Amino acid sequence: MGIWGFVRSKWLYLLILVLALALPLAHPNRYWFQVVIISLVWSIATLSLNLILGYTGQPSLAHGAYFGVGAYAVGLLTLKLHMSFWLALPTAGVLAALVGLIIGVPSMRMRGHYFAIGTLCFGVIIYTIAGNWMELTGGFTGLLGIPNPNAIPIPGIGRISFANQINQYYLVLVLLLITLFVMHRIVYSLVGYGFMAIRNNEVLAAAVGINTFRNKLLSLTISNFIVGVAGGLYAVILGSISPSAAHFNITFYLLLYLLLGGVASLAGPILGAFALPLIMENLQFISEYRNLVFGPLLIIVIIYWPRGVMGGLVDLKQRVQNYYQFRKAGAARAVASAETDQAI
Amino acid sequence: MLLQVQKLTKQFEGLVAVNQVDLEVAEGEILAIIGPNGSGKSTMFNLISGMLPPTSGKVWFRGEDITRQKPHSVAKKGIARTFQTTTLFDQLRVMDNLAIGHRVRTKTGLWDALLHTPRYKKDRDETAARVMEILNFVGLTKQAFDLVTTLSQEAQKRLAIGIALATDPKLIMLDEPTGGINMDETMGITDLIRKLKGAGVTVCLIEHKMRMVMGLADRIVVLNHGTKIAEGTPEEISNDEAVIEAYLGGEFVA
Amino acid sequence: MELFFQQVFNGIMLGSTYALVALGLTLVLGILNVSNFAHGDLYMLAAYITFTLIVNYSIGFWPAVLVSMVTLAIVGVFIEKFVFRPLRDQSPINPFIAAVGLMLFLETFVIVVWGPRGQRIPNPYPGAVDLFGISTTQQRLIVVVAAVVLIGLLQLFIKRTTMGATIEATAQDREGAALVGINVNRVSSVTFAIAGALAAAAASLIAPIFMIAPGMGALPVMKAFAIIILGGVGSIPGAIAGAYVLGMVESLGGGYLSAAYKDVYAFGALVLVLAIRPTGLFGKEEH
Repeated sequence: MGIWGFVRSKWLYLLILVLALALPLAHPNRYWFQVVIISLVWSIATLSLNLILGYTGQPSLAHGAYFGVGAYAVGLLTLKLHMSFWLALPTAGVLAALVGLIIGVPSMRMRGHYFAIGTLCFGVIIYTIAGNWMELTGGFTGLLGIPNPNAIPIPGIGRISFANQINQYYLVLVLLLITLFVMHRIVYSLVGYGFMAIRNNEVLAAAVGINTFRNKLLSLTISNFIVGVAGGLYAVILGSISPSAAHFNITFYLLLYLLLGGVASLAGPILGAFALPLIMENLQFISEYRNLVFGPLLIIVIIYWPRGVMGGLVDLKQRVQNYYQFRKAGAARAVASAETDQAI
Repeated sequence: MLLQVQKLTKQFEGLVAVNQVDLEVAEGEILAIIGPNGSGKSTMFNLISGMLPPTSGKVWFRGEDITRQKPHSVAKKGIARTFQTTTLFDQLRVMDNLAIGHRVRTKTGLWDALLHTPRYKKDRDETAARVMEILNFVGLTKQAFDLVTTLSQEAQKRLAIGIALATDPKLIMLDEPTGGINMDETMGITDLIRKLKGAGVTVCLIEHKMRMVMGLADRIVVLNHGTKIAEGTPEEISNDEAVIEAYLGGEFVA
Repeated sequence: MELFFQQVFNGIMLGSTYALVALGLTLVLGILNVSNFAHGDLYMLAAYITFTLIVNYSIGFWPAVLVSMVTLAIVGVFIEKFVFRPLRDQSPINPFIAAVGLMLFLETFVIVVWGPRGQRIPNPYPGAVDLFGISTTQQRLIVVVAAVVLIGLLQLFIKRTTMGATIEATAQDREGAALVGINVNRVSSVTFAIAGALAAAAASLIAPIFMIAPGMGALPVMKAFAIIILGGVGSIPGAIAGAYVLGMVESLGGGYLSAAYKDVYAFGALVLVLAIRPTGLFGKEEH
């Protein structure tokens, strides 16, 4: 198959998956392992931003705030209401989606710049509330002592406890895989087509019958649900959260991971969200100065490789080509190209 | 009557772009709207398709009042349109464009996509089939997988018509479908429009090229400064004094 | 009653600084169609420069402010040329990303050079002053006076010079200006220079009253965006009016309702307005 063929084939991803599953066997250093786990959480959050920003073209800058809503939801539900984590997590997603709806419905009427700024300001409002509503959120100290996810009993074998890092790692990994699956299904479907149409040419999309308002809202809601779940994971992994989990810095970091990793692709956000924090943490001496590098890097990338980073949906073409089946319509050429190019 | 426009008026601050225009399009015919630049033709389309709200007047389609409906509702009801400047999904490929055009006739929702329900599969196959049909119809089969940006001007115009056709419309409104292309290409598009009529689609088009219009349209409506000044068969129109005067010293393009 | 007038005066003071920041930003957004989120960090940089000049080099307050303004004007020109000019006419999200990159860089730069903790600039005018029965500090009064003077100078520049008129025209109708052959490069440079200088003035004036810290630019820039949306992009009177309204809302809300949530009032007001009129109070339909 050759090196290049291998890299672009499905086998590469299988290999990565196997390595990911086997990682704990290498007995990684505790601190480093924690960074890996958190990076996986960021990957989930970045994937969700990709849906609303990369595929649907809406610059929702309150994403960090929704992450925070999810984090606080899980924190409060498990800590104060003693709810099971397994119920709290989806609830966190629903709550984040609901808040997103409250913000989204009025925001959707604004275009481009205004939408970006409007959502950013909403984010600040949420952050300020998180920091000041002492009774609910504990103010700027935040919540401490968030319990680990409840152990899952397996009949006949015992219980899977989540008090240790390894099982937490698998938990997050599984959720990342689920997120990938969901994103994949959405993107390579008529629903995904609707989103991309809106991003590419909203006027034309409306002219061909696509209800842009409803589709934007759908994209936003799915996106917010996922990032809420990511926030919830963040809360239990860290064991404590403070208003910084809802700060707009998070939005900017997610944006950074997304853009440097590659927009409008599925591998891109993971690459960005995973590789970047890892790189940052590993080069300890650089971590303070990392933005001195990342800032100009972002500028250089956006000037010289805007398509590569901001994703012309050029790469998308390759993938849609494979997965959109023309077999039933009898287009022989479609069959041929579906077999040759296997890369995601 | 497929489409009925009654006393349609659009006033911007200080400018009346469309002035009390009455218009009718019968099912199966090709109606052309002509007139000098700035006579309100494109504005008419924007009013009918829901992109602009009219100041007054009504629009009836298949007996239903669609006057203030949004563009996506109007499209769903069966009116498709193209734009004066070639408007396509230029980040995607030809077949993607057509598939998106057909989206309005599919019902796949979020859960269908996530679970690959039978409805998802049915929609997917139906879309694929329809896309193939339209590719054949507009003559773009060879370029199915090409990026839109690699197409020639004329191919892009055919694609725009194809996208409109993909919405399975009863009425297609074409805004200057031959703008900026040469004589031979114009003939190609003209043939395509005749094919549309043959396929049972009613066509309403805005055009500048007089000779093309004369040979193509069943009926013609002439606008000038937002007002209808003449209406009739191509014969009647070419002999109409008001029309000739409007075009004198103006935009007469043979 | 005394409290009320004091808060009103504070609102005027806040509004004055917001006006300086918002004016620069509205010109940049109107002329270059760039949402320069890094503007807040230019503001921050200026404060630190002023701080260093005063504390480390014992330069007087006003000379320091002047040097800061000039420096930021130069920085503005530099940024326009190397960061935003290459991205001109692209989809607005690209310059936005560049602005984010700039932000990250500037904040880290400040932390690296001056440390992460807040600093204090000694107050050059510490005395109290009695203004029509309201007692306030001299520094606060100076802020208002200086801001008004600067705004006045800007208005003079806009109305009385060719470059000024060109800028105002371009800010209100970018496409039209390009059509009549205006030298876009020059206009862009000058605009960024003005924006930088105004932000520097605002930061330096207010620095002795509040502390300076690496994150200090974030809220002012967001409020500035809120202001220009309220007042209409590219509109100078809109920016000024919006700034004072916002200053009042924040001051009165903070004074009478809850100081902790004062930022919420400002943004809440913006959100409310946008919900009713998605193009802002005086804005026109976006392109």
